[in-house]
Amino acid sequence: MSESNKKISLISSEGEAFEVSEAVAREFEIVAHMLEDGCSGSSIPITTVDSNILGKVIEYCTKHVEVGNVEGNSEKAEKDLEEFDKRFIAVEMNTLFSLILAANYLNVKGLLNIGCQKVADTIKDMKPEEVRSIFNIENDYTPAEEEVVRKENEWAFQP
Amino acid sequence: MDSTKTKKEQLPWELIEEVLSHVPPRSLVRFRTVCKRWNTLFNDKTFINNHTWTFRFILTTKSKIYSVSINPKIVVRELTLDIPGIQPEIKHLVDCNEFLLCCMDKGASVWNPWLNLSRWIKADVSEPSSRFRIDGIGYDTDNHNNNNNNMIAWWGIHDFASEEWKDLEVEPSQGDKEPFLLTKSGVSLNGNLFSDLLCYLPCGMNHPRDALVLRVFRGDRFSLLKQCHVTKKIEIWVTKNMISVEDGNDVVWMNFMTLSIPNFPGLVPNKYSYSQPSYFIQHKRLVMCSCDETGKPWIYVVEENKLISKVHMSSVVDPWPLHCTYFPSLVPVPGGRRKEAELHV
Repeated sequence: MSESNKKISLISSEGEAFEVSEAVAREFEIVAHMLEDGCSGSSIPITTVDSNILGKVIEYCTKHVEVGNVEGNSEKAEKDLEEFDKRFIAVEMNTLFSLILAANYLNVKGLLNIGCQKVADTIKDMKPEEVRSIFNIENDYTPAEEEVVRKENEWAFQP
Repeated sequence: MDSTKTKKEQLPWELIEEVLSHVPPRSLVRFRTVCKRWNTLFNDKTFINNHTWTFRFILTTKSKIYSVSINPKIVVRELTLDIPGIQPEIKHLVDCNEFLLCCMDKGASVWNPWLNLSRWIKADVSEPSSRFRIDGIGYDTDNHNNNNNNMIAWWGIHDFASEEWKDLEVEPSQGDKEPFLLTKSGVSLNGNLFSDLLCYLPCGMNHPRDALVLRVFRGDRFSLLKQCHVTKKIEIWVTKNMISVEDGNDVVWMNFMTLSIPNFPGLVPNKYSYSQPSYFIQHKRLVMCSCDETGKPWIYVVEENKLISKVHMSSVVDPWPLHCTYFPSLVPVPGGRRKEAELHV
């Protein structure tokens, strides 16, 4: 398709422009909707995402579009993509949260999914207090209430 | 990149929920102590039903147990039920809300497959083993909490607290003209166990290969699936009101959907009662599991008189699996044990 050669600029919250092909931009569902709604301007502001994160999301989408375009998509390509995802998502928690927020805002489902899975894998063996600090959650149990809930689920706390 | 001064990001509630729907069930149980909102979330059926690891059906063959999720892609996974000293060969499978009842020759296992917690119930020694069968789990209605589960067997009650069997003083009533349920499984609704006797149905069986299956619908009502063997037409009936224990006879049924799909197969492959289909209704969608005449298990998804998909579960190798619907839960089995394979390093 000749359309896929068309370039679109995505503008980060700092005003930095990222030039991408239309196919990549369409991976951002929110952008795809804008394009379908006749928002034909060649630059689209993504005001809630900063340059660092926008750059990463574009990297993710570019890779996925590339692999999707290869004819006769093989098992190997799928494996490669899995490997890419694994490396791509191996970032510290704060960046991970930023990526999840961006993926959610831009509606990039694959990225949202691997981002949430990565956080889940990271927290699954943590103590409840560590989990609270990660999500900035205040413990609203009284010590006695917390003890009751803990007792009821004792088996799950055993190593 | 220097421009990004690290501010601590926080996820809004819906994204925390999204993350938690990827966390393994056992960790979720521990995370009940994180805060009250999380604890409440983990009791929410919608959350559980959207969880990445959720499933909808259980299938068992002579040697294997499988879960089937439909999301909407059908994924079949293998599960293990460990009972010390017993080769689990399941003869009868019942979905009892939170738990799964797996009946075998020497007793039954009350199992939460998601948490892999189970409790073994020995058969009543005074009963000849060929008659042993458990048909559901109900709560002691005077004292409705999880520690007072009773199991209802073919007319016996097993008390979870005392681990004893008692007789249940109910006899099937005779001579009623209206049809009542012919499937053997009891249906457990909010902890009240409804057996064959309590509920009159809007239609009966006219042929031994008609399908007729009663299920709980939207938590506190009943649904009934009927398929006529001759026309293959499927009717779904639901009760108008919620069902209470006292007036089980007073049920008003209404037609929920009628499906005539060309070339739709019969859901009952032979005349034995165990081969009735399993099904559930989600929104306007009907999902059914049944074996074909060669014993191969299939999933049928139907909506608005159209067959949306029909999938053979080829990873279930042995023919004629038992099947039932089962939606996972985080409710622990009272007095249940968990086999800790990871402890033996």
